[in-house]
Amino acid sequence: MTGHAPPPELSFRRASGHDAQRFEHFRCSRGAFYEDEVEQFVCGVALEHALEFAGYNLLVFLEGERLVAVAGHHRENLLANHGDRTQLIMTTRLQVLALATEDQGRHCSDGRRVSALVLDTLINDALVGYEGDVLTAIVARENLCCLALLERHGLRSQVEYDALHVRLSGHFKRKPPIVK
Amino acid sequence: MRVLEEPFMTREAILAVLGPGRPASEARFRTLRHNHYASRGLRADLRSPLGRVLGQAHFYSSLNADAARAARFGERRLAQGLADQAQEIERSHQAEVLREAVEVCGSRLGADPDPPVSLQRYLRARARASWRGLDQHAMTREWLIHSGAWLSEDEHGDLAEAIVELARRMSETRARLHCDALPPVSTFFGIVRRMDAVAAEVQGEAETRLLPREDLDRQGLAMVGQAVTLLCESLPAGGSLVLALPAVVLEAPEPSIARSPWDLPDGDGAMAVSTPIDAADQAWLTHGLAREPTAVPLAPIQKA
Repeated sequence: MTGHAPPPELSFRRASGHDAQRFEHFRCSRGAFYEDEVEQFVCGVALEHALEFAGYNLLVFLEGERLVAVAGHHRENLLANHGDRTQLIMTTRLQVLALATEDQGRHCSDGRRVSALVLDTLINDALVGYEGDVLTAIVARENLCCLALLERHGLRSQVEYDALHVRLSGHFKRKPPIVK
Repeated sequence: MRVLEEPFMTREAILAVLGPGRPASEARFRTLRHNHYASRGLRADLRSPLGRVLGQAHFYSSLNADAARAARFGERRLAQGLADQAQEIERSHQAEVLREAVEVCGSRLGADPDPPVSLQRYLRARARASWRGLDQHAMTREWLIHSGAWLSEDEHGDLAEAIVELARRMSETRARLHCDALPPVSTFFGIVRRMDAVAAEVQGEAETRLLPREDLDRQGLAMVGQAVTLLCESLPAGGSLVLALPAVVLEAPEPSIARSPWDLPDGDGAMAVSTPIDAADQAWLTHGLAREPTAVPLAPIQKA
């Protein structure tokens, strides 16, 4: 007996118009302002936007028919102005990661958290088609759990974004395949 | 931007200046007190709204750090002079105002089931970096002494006024007692603007300094936007010592906002959104790219 729940039968796919009702009833906030921001975004404009713009990738994570998590990413060019020239850094922004309230802190039988599984899948999906890339995410300074989660998964550089948020970034690269 | 030193510090911080790298012990502090190299300090009684005693917090004027350093260099008279002045400051009206603020904040903690975010962050950071992290009550009492715990409650500006006055008195005392006669010591005030797993960039009024992130982690200060004091000292046998301590930020400039974090790409689906960033942020990001990249994880969840 490990005390953990059995491994979840999770799967993920791109969000579609059929998910509208799931999004409407999705709850991921326990009352903190940064959780409210995420819930408003997910329940409000996320799906509509994903259906309208192909460049915005919105993923749904399901356990059976139940919506466990929503995550999204899109390409972002960071432009630094150096007076006479502009320097461009091409990145992929992990734009949202929302876990249903009942799945927050939930562990699988192997000890891994559902949040870690979702984030690993999101990172992998964001880098499909790339050998390597810079991933970024904007997180509320008070969201300590999310900051720690992203740091553990490789987004270790932090810069100030605004009075409430920081931008995290990390450089990722695919391991070369093992040749036998 | 106006960053000032914290008016008070803990016993542990004073002992860290007295013997860098040596563990803090009651005996060493008693010796300091016995030789009149440290002031008596202040005590805040922490009670719940119903009057139940929650504990006590002891804290000392920051001039005690100068006294401890003078004691380490064998400048006994200077150390005693500084400790006397520290005691004078602790008796002042301004110190009393701040002591009351610590008591109010500490008492509120006892009534609130959810500790403030800055306390949670402090406990997390210190739990990994210090054996004292095991004692959450002791760590909470340490946190209460930092202005970050109670300055946000300063509706009428009385607390900020008291901090400014105490900072003025401390720097006046240092100048009067010729603390600059000690071997090269400098104090740097700034705000943590950028950091990664290895280093942190602290921006002061006139310059920017880099320091190992671990130094901030140990003090519970590894957070973008945190105001810090860096006590920098050249050691007689070579090398240097940088001790990071919390600081008070009274007038912080608002960082420029590029766009709301919730703005989405609004062009052609194939196009990426373009976001302007600060040249210093770009340099920091580029620096990070030179480091060993993280391996892309396998997707543990199957695609439907």
